[in-house]
Amino acid sequence: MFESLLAALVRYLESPQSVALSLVGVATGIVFGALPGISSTMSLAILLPLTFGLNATDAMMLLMGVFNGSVYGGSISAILVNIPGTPGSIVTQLDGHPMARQGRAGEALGYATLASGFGGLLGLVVFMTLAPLVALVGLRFGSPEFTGLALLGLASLSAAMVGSTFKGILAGVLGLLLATVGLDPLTNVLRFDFGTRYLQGGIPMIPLAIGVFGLAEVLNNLERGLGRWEVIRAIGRVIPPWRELRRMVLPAVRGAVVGIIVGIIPAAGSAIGVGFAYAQEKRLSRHPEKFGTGVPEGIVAPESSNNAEIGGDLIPTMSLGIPGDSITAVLMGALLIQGLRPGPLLFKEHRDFVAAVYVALAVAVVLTTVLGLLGARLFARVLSVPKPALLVGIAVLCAVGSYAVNNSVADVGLMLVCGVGGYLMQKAGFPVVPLVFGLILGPLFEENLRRTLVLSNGDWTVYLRRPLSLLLLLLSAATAAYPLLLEYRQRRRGAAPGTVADAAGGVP
Amino acid sequence: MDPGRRALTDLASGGVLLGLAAVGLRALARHPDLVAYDFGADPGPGLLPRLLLWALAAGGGVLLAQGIWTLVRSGRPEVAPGWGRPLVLPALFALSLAGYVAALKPAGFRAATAVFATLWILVLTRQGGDRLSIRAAAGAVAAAAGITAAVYYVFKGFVKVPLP
Repeated sequence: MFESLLAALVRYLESPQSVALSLVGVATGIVFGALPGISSTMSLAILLPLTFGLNATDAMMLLMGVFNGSVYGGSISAILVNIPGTPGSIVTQLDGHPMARQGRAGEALGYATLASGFGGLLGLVVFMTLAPLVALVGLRFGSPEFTGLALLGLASLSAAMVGSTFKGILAGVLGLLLATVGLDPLTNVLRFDFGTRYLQGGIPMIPLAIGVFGLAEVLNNLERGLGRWEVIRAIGRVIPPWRELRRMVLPAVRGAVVGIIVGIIPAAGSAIGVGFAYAQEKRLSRHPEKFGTGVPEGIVAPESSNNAEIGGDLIPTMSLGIPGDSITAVLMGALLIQGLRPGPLLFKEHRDFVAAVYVALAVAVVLTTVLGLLGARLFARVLSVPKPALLVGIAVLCAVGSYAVNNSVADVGLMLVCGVGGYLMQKAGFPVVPLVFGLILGPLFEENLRRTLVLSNGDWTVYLRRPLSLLLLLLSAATAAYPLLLEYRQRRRGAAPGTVADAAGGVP
Repeated sequence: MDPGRRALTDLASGGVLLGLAAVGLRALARHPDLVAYDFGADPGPGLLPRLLLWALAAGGGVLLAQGIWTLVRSGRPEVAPGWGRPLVLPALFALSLAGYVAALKPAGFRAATAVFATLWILVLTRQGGDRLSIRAAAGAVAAAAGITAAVYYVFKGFVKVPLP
């Protein structure tokens, strides 16, 4: 593996296009992440069509840059505007903004940047160590285990939708159903095409993702209003004092460990990780009462956790083909377009590509840290972009990005329908992420379910006779049932279902 | 969310899910291949869709029942006045985007995008509380031209997409 890694690094350094793509990816990711209302998932979804003309390695250079950059970028608006740019920076504002208000905005940005870089690197090391091992175990899986794994991925995601588990499960079922549209690969029978040629190829994932993550968010932003953001303009020194930095090593390590663990759990989501990291740091602090007033630990722990989670997220995504969260779900879509299916076989048959993914993430982490430190003032100015032009520009990007998939206006129409549908789903309290997960995991689930039954002559008990398959099914059932029971108990007590922050352990 | 609105949301989403399930189950029941062929040990391409459609129908039924229960418990549904007002702008935006998509082929990407972007930047600038002045209009035209040119050259020149 070391040779593949070295070769991938040399190939990267020798290719000016790859270097330029990772730079553009990181810078665009930071800018998009910094803008409130544009999540990392949305950034990746609307920029994904730019990779259509690229080879798989260059596509990863761009997308990993956008991924890592946008996850970090969320902290800029959390600190300077007191609005998290992405859900992962939801607690960074608690201490970041007060510190900025004290005239130490640059320092707050510096802590966030260095912690993001540290967490990102630790996540990368764990990703590089664990992913091949998990893939090795995955190679021993049979069809029943993969059926159980797909089910567990969906169940975890629905369970992560605190307060709307039931609707999350229904959204996942709808996604699985959408995955059955078109030609059945095992029997060549057409399903739900309603006599149209467009639906015979199935529901394309990219226009759907652009619609539900991109356009739906534009519509949400329009509904929320177009008021201006109040930005803190005085940045000051960006590099924090050395003595303070040394004190931040342990909070950064603890935050990163939490982030990696939460990232590995499919669908746990970055908001949960940063909530836990913050709550843990507050519990361990000698002065917990100072949290919320602008202490560096309150920035370092969640920011380290946030970026470390990327490595954790990528472990189930790359080694088992089960997305770690909505961002990696979109990333998986990008790989599928390139003809690469994430899973154990990827590590066996495409070692060079896996090495290129490691390099892409490493480069993205380093560039994010460097650009974050050097360009803090510049990125802060991004928050002055007028909202009308921004929202209209994103809508145009959504339309053109969907068109670029197959050069088809019908795909733009599908994106529009999915965007409006996603917006209405959110209005009715249905989370949209399980829908996309269902669409991605649907083929894996159905193919393995039916293959198992063919091999066992239609005997369903095969799922119960294989220990690992039984374990995965039980875990899926428990994962889906637990939050439903919790919600039921809370309702009986008369309390509203908890928020992510509550679940994370008392973030103020 | 007030109980009246929650009840209506549950009723509407339950109804939509039940409708979807009904359409899907009808399509499966009338599918000539699924009716005619025996797929042997393979449960066939109808198994999973059928299971999922029944699950959707059950979920839709639960939501419908929940909506009716809330209505019965709270008496007449009272929806806060003006609750639909914030939805007008997104609805208009989605409708005009549909018009923009329809105009892409006949008008071409550049003309359709420039018009769509200019109009909406002006509308949103006004919505944001700013007065519409000549300066604002010039700014909207410049921003729209910038968006059109940037997207056109990135996708046409870099991604090699044959934009209409």
